[in-house]
Amino acid sequence: MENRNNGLKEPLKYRTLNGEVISLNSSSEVEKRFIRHMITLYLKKPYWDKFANYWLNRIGKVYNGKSRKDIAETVSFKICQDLESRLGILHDKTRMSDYRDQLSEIVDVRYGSRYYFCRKFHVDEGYLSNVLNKKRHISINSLSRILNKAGYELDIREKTKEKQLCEIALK
Amino acid sequence: MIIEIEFLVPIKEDRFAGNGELHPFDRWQWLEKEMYIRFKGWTRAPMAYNGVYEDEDTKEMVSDESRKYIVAIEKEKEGEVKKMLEEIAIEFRQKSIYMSVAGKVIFIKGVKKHGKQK
Repeated sequence: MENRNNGLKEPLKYRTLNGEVISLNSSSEVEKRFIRHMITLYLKKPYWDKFANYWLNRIGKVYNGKSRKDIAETVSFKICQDLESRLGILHDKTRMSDYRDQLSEIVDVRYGSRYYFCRKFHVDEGYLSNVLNKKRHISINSLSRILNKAGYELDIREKTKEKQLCEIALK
Repeated sequence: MIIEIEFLVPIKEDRFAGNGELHPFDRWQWLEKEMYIRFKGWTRAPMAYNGVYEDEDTKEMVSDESRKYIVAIEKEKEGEVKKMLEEIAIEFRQKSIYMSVAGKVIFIKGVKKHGKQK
């Protein structure tokens, strides 16, 4: 499962919706076969729940003897979750994350409440609520300033193309 | 004794606890991974569940679409599922999560945890 470019071996990679790059170079033949099979199935665009139940029922056999905790950290698990998410997005059952979701995750879940977050970092609570509820826009400068105070930063990443998935499936 | 627990996770955020929109995909990934790690016997119904309920605050009738999960666990681990549903309610921006144990319905409200690590 390697691409050849000008005689040089290029590692075959899978890029998730989150921008995480997963190298398949050190994957076993069993893993590669499973991933190829799941990508081939994904390309037929089945319903997301059907796809989810299918891979979840089979992944244990690929990693026979491993604990569920360990299996949940494998490349196959990550890739199958990513493929399932793509189907969910395709069928309008879920959506891509945007900066508001990530900000909301930091504010509401990691800091526990908007009130606590806003007091700690001197942000107007009404303004933040309006931004998170899509009632107001926030400039990149303001967003960077808030994130910086909370110990986070903005990031730009490349989108994954469907063509790349087809290439992996066909290798 | 093994019992069967069912719960529903709406595919959209609550209009008041959240913004009423579809969940971003990474929430579902988090739930799936947690379910896989924590529970040996569980399944997700392969279809959407549509329901209508009365909002406890506004008294308006609200219709929603949910994913249904079925967990088979030992009776003494029921508390573990409830604890997870408290987390799900927060993570999925819901006022509460519908849970059914042997036909008995309970609504689990969210409990916030500070400094949660994913």
